[in-house]
Amino acid sequence: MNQSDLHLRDRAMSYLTKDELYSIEKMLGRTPNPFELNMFAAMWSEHISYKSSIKWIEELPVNGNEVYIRAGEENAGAIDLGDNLACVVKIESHNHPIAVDPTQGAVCVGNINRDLIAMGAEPVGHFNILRFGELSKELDRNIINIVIKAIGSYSNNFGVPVAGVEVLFDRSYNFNPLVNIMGIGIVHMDKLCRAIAGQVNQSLILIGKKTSGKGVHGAGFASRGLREGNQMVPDTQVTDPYVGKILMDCILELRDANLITGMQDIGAGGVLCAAVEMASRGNTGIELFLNKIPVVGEDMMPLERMLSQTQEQMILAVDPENLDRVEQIVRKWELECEQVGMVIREQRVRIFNGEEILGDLPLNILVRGGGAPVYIRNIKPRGKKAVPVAAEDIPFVGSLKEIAKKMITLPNISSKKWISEQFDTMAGNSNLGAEYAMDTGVLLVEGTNKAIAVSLNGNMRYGRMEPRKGALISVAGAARNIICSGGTPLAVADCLNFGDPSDPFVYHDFVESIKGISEACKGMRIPVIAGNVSFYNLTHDGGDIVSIIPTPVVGMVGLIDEISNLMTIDFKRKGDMIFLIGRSDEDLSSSEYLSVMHLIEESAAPKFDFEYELKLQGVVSSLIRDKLISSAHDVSTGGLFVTLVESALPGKLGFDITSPAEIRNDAFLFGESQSRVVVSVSSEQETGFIDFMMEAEIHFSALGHVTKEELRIDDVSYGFISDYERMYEGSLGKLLDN
Amino acid sequence: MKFGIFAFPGSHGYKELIWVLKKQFKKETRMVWHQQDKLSDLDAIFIPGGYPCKGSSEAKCLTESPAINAVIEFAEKGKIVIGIGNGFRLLCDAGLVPGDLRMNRNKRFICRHVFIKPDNDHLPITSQMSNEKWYRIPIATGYGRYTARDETLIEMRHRGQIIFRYCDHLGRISEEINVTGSIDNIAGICNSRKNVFGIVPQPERASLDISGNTEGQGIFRSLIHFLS
Repeated sequence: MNQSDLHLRDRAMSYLTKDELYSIEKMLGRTPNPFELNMFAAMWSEHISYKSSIKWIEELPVNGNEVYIRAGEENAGAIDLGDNLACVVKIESHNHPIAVDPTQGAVCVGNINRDLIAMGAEPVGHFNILRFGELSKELDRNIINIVIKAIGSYSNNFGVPVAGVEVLFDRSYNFNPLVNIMGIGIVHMDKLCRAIAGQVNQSLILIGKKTSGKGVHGAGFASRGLREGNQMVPDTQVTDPYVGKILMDCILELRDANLITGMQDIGAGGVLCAAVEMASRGNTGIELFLNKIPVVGEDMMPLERMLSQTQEQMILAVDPENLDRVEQIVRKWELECEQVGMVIREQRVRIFNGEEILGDLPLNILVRGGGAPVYIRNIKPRGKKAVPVAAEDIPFVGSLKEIAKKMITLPNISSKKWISEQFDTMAGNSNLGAEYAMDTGVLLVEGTNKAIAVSLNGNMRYGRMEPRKGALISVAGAARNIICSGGTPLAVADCLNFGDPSDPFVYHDFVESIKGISEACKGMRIPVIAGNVSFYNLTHDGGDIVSIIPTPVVGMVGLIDEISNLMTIDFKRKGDMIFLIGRSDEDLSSSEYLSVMHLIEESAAPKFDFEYELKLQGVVSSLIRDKLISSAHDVSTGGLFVTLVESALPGKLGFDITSPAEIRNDAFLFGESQSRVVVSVSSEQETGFIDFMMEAEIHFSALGHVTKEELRIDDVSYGFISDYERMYEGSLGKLLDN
Repeated sequence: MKFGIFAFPGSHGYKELIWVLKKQFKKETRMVWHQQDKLSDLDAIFIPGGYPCKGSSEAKCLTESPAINAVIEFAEKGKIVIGIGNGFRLLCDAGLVPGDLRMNRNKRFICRHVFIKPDNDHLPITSQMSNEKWYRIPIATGYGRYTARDETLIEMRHRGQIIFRYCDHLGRISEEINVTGSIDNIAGICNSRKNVFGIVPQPERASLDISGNTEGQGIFRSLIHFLS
């Protein structure tokens, strides 16, 4: 073997195990050449093959009446919205590139647009799910500033609103910030496109930017931890939102001209992965002509041409007779357009560089569901018992009033406006959340009276000790949010962020989280329509490996079938009665209060009764439909007090409530008992509301009423809403402004 | 009455404008692609926001766009041109309005609802509004800090070229509420002939009945009134 072959071989073997090599040789019946070995290294990477997670992901329920394209079938899932429209859903993690180089890494958010466009859909909303480290460290504060600015400077140029931002802080994200993005697109059923290369002799056309040598083995990069030193310098890639924007418009024009029979975004794994996946769906094969790939600079190796993850590129399957028209349109947009491959009958992947064949492999053994390995890693529970904590287990400290004020200013509770205002949240005029006080994103479906509600939920405390229950509560909470907005849950998109899967503790948490999501989704009959797994979210701190805490993020999509059914969280007028639906108890487990005020970070997840939750959601849904309530806001992080303040703030109103005698006040105000919703009721609604609730067989209690501006609990003044507004709106900015 | 919506490949505010003009006000609109130069069928042109060209060089964009000369000619005929957000910046770069838009004082992109108060309610885009009232309209910009030389500013004030100023929810104009850091809280200005307008706030995002905020409608109603 000559020097360069040895080098190629070493490069591939840094991503493959010896066992994997053995299995390749066995399946192939020969030793793959070094170039082919690199094809395996890319296709069998965790990022592409899902080899450590696929076994468990397959347990998630994917079928449902409204499901139009199931999770895993295409690059994004789709649900039927009626009116001949489909909602396309995608969720992605961009943790690694952003952790290493935020400015460069943030351009990955363009991927989400291209995944939606690849389905023929127009992107109508982005949702940013962000996890950052402690704010006490200057370095982490700087990272936040840089990451936010980087994401904004890219995504603000698309005319797609960031219709929701969910942010949480925890020290396990120091040096390991997470950026998950969920994208929603809308498409007419008859314009829906598939990522398929189904017809023999079709041309594979690469359009967009030129390929640059950066980004090789991007998939492998995301499939390992962030190492110290230089060997893992990011292979992400400089890009230009301008090109992203015109590529989007170009594709939509090609779509409208019916010139595309299949398309896929170029992601990690480069042209190879995109083409192979398309052929795999079409039961065909492909030939790729690497010398035809337009590149930046002359001296690019064939391997780099094949695997480079260049942003702002897509690959299209086009019928030969349409080639000229495609080229004409693409050139109009001043983008690159080159035929780089062909669909063949034989189910093989054949890679050419000019006349030379660099690789020739059966397609099936490269892909997930074919020859790609499937691992069930070692599982080991952490062995620590998850202990519930009730009020009686902890001392009562300080004045409730002082605690209440402190709670409002905590980074995980206070307003995230400082962050969300750096994103264009109002582009396209469809984000109703920009105007109404909502806990969910709400996107108008243009041309209809419908709206899509989107909820993001990923409480990280609940899953710390009990990942299964934590994930289950996340799904239930997301559904509760959708219900409170007047919608019906339709589908879940999950993004599973974990540490090293070869660590049996981490793998245990991962498997448990999936089981929790699965249990909740099955129980509520909500299918999982899209998902993403991000492993290796860890850093090497000296000699220690520090993994993030389990972070399964749940994004849920719901439908508000009639805009007039939209429900908001804000109190509407002085004098309205405030009721709590659901039951409070002494449970303080995993609450923000317990963690911050009592420094107890390890406790059980809050008590949770699934049947009760379903009943609650049914009741709230009926109350909204029958117009018997004026606001609805579910109780979550921070507890009842925070919920009340959040309902009072938009209208600059106050509240006067009485606490029940049987529960200690701190548990009542700050405990995070699940399955509770605060509603306000006008005097006209009151009789109807009470009549309905008497029949509803669920706990409900009158808390008090809405006041002009003062907050009173048990006849004690907690101050005025203007003070809370300053604290709630201003505290994050105070920490982050520099 | 027909409106043109100007678009560079990277523009994106046009969707909202078309939605508002067509659906809310039932007016005829058409896109003006940046390489077209026939504008004679139009009564007014909007230049929406967005990131117009490669490498963010607006000046280069302008020199390379045949349509910009047509827009300048259009303005010289006294017809109405309205630049919104980055479209306002293009008007500055093209020399159609005085002054310049720079990066926000806090060096960050800002997207939020702000209150603006007309400074001259006798203009083609403010006649149906009032200097005594203030309006809640969103901004979404990284470059919203208006600047002009002192002598220019004095002249503009004298001639009534200042359209809107940032104020608080009670209509009070103060430095504290000056969201982008503009000189004199300026949110919009026009040329001395009062037919070319540049505004940072985006009324097209506050004009649909269905969206819950319609306080931007006054600008469109004024314009339609003027052209009728």
